[in-house]
Amino acid sequence: MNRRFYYQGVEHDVTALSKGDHHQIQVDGTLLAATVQKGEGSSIQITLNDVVYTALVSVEAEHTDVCVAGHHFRFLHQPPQVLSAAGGSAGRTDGLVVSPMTGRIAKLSLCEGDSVQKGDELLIVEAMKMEFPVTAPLAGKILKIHQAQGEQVEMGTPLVEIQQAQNS
Amino acid sequence: MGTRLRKVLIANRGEIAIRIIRACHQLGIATVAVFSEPDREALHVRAAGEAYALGGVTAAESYLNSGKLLEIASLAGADAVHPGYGFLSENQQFANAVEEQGLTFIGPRAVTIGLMGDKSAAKELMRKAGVPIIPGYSGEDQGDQTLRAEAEKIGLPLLVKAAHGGGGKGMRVVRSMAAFQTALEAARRESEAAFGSGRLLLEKYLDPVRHIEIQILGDSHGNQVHLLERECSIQRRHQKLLEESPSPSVSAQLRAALGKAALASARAVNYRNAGTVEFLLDARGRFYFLEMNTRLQVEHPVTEWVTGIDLVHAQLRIAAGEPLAIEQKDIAPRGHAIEARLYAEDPAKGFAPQSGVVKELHEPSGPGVRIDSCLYAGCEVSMHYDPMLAKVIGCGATRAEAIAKLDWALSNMLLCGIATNIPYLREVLAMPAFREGQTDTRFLERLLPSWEPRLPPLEIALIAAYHGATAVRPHGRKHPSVEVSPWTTLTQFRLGETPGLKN
Repeated sequence: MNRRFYYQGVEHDVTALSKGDHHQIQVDGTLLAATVQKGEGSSIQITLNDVVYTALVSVEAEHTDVCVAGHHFRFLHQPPQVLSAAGGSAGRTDGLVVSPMTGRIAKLSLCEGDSVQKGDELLIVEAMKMEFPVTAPLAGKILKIHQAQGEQVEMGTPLVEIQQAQNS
Repeated sequence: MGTRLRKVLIANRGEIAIRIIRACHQLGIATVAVFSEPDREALHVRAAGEAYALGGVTAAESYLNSGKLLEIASLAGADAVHPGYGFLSENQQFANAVEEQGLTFIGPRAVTIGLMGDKSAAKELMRKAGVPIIPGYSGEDQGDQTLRAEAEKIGLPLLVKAAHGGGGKGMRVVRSMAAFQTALEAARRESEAAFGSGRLLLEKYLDPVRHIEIQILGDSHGNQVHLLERECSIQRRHQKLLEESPSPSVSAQLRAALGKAALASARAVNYRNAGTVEFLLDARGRFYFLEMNTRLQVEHPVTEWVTGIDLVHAQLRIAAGEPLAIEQKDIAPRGHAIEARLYAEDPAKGFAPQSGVVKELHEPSGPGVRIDSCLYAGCEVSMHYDPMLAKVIGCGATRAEAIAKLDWALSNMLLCGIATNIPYLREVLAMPAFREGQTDTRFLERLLPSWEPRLPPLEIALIAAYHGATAVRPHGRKHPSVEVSPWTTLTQFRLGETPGLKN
């Protein structure tokens, strides 16, 4: 049986070639001799090359979350939708800045039309009593600001569109 | 001895509310929990004997609503209030109002809270008591021009911080006068939002410096002891991340000097209940009074391991009027403990705070591992409150053993649905400089200026995902703990006395 997962936009293919605990598992075409066992509580233990990893898995309709050694992975079940730059601009998406968290826009630091350098503060999102500055990923001009001060935003909500400077 | 406490209202949420509720039950004291709307299903609500709705969503609408808290205390027949940390724990008016209603406030006298909450007055008092203080400005004139003039007098680098704050909120380091105005405005805005006051103070910024604090206990009969030091130098954006006791940089001689200064601070205000005197320790071994925290600290568990004293039990006994059961000469460090604060922050996204549902949870346990947490599978992490989810504490005979236990515990603390700072904590624990105890408050800034998570092999995560997606589940349910938990159908209210209550 085979399953596809999408992690950070990249497709991964997992195929099990045998049943039971001792899987011959093929990940992205590479055959791995991994042992999967039930662990403590609802965790599972995966042994690969004599290293034991404890993992926890949660399966949702659209994604599967995995926690291994404290790291959190979110695997999508469908290819991710490419975020089209809202406002119908030139089709560039590299300058679209999305919210890294759920929160409230505490402050807009710049206006549409302003020039920015990479690393400049664009706005501040506030949640959990902390102010979190969102910075420009590249140098350019602010094409559009999608949110107003005080608005609630979700993780992934488009915040600001930057038109990349020609010379960078 | 004194007035026995029968029923305590815990004016807090999260792991600390649970910690206090358990301590009360251990001493045969009944408990009353309170909750905001987002916390209706929170663990502290389930842990307490009774629970009452505060209404409201934000902290200001709920856990900071002192009128409502007092109304519930009266309605539930509580005879004492424990404020925990944060929220109203260092609010003089609240402590006063509790006592005026004839209830016991489990903490210091209201006047002490007021005195120490005013950082300027506290510094002046400590200077008079002979405790060394940091040079700075703490005047009432808060005009931008006055602050700028004072800043120029103190010199750079400089710290702008909330006069009524704590926990790194409303605090900015200024390294050039060009950045002063921006820092001032940001600190003021954060301070007003978090503490309801925009008053700031300026201090000389010492660097490199270690954060060392001394736990104190005082009873209502004028006895005070100190319970050794904690080092809390490992901080990110002025937020403590790792805390330990004893400090690897404090000798027996320095410990005695710090203890003496802390007791002088405590005696200057005839301190009652649990408190903490914070100091900065510079590279030459000189220390300065920073502030006194008039409450239980987040990091109290490390002191509990090292001294063998349950601080919440001690708080409850002191509040009941009992004299301290220990003397200074009986207190000596025993082993080593390190606490890691687990935050709902994604280190892969610049530590952006994360909110959502913890779908699955596995918490490790074993000798030398303590977890103080408010998590359960299916619990919601709200964006309205502090992002600290749990404290993971490793304890052992030596520092190396404590580190090993803590690292194991962190690697086995598994949460699905919300990213946490665990990978970052483990990275710090693995650093040679940390293992050698070469810590200071800019440790992370210096040694981990930019950090990318070192992910475990992606194949492992993919195998786990595959296993989860194809596993046959009993009764075809996806998340029994979340979807058909009896807790989601049971009422939150348990009226009347708790079954275990002894009079």
